[in-house]
Amino acid sequence: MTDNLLKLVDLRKTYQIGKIKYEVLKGINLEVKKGHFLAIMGPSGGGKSTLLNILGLLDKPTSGSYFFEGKEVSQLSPKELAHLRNRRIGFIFQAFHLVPWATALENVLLPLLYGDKIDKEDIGRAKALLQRLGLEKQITFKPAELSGGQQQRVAIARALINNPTLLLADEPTGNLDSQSSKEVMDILEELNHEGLTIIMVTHDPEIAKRAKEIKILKDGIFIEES
Amino acid sequence: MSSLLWKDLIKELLANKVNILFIMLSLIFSLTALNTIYALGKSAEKQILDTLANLNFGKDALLILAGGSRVMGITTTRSDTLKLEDVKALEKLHFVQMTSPFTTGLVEVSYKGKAEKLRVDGVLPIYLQANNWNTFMGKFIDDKDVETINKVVVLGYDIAKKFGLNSLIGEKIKIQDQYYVVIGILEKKGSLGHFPLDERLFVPLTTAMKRIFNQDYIRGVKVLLEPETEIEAAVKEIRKILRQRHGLYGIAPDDFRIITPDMVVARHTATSKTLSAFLLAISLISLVISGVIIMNLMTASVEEKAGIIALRIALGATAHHIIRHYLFMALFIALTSGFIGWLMSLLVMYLLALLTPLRPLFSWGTFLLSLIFSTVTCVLFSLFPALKASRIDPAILLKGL
Repeated sequence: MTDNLLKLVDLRKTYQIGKIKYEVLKGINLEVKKGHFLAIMGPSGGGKSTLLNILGLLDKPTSGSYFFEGKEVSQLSPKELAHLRNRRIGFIFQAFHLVPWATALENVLLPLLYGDKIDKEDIGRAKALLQRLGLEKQITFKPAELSGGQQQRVAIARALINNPTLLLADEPTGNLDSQSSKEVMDILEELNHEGLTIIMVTHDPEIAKRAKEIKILKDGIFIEES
Repeated sequence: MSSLLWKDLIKELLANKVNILFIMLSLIFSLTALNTIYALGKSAEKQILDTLANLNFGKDALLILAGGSRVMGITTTRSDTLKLEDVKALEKLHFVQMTSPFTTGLVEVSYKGKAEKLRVDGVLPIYLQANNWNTFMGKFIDDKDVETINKVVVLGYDIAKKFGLNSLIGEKIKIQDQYYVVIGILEKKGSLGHFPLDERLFVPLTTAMKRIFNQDYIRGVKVLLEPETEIEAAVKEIRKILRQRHGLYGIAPDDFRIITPDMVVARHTATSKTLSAFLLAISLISLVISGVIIMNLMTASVEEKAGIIALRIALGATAHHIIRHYLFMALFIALTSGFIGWLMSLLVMYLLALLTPLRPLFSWGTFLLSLIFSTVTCVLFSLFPALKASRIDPAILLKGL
């Protein structure tokens, strides 16, 4: 129990549009241990993104429980949730979501704006991360001057700047060519080896194979692989 | 606020240069107008005060005029009761430094065959001192002229100029049906409001009373008080003495008016005050309009940047962080535009002073005014877009259901 990073118990999410209710998640049960690498696959509309939003504390379930590091997150205030997102969780997205007017370095430093004071050490750490991801020459480049693979690596550096325990990846290779995809997956695998827990949503079975476990989400529930 | 935060929001602002240009322009224009109008209003007031000070009517001075309060310009009491004996009595008061009695009227004056109705003042030699005035040429009326009811005249600068400045001394001017010798010309004084001080002729008081107006009373007296005199107490005392001397008791109204410098300032600035209040209101409205423009552009910008705001929230920004981000942005815009607006108003004031008779008054007050108004407007009208930004749903970052 103690090595569980997160646990979902009968998690449900219903959207209401006008009078029609859409039940997107229909009772999800999931345990993810520290250091795990889980890939979630499934058809479009199966609830993958909704699940990822809830796991990333960007959305709340309609019912059921979500324990993150042992704490029931529905009990937490918006401020505490923001703090958890800032400190414990890193995000990477299919569309990278870098701030277009900021340099690579400033993008990596962005989460620090919402934490404690920024000091020289932080900037050193950000530079070291970019260097580790092979971007030492692109530190002052704007996103538009970077290739897709480079942009995603900046986004990974940004996700890692606060040393999170959980990395959430939404189709991280969806906008990349196969060479860049391979590079990004190598990085994620390496980070997982170092102990980072990763949950990744993807369409691509080849990409999903790099994870330790694959789960299929269909019509709001996990199904057994056939 | 760390420097990184400022850098973050200034870079965001500069990312959309057209947007920030429009916001700033709308603010700058209304602030320029506001500052200029404020400065003009201030200077109108100062001009009057300067003129009064120049006339030795700045402080410690009173003007007593014959005739009581007026209804539609017509005196409701007798106006022939103020006498030189009254002036003598006032001179005995310990707080009176100097008195300068005068009488005045419009009479026909002719020189070299041209006749004109002009204002002629009968005054004593002390008049120059009492009004802080000097001769430009020749000499002023002396005690002997007063004693002998002499037919001499001193010209105001504008009249002398009209008659031909240089060769006037010793010439004869006809006032009504008698000839007067020009003995001097006064230096230029300008005007008090619309009253032209330099379009007058001065003759000895006795000459004016006996030869020109045929009166045994005077039209007024200027009283200079000892420094540090309590004006209100002095007015009260003088009123008591004059009422007594004029035999006024009970509810009988005063047959004289005591004018203080404050009253003159108030009268001369009343119209300009109304006007500047009106203009000020208009420029404040224009400021509100720029506020609405700011709100509009900021809201559009928040909608456009919804993705980035959602990203900030996903990375750990609280509602507080997002609101702070936009309010600081507003503050930055406000201070920059406030400063530029102030500089622009200085330029406009300089041009106004160059091209028109207006003399806008420079003051740090307008600088503060500029910054305060732009800050209040900007921050107030950015509240709505800032709140809107803080409520963006971060779930939009991940593609649909």
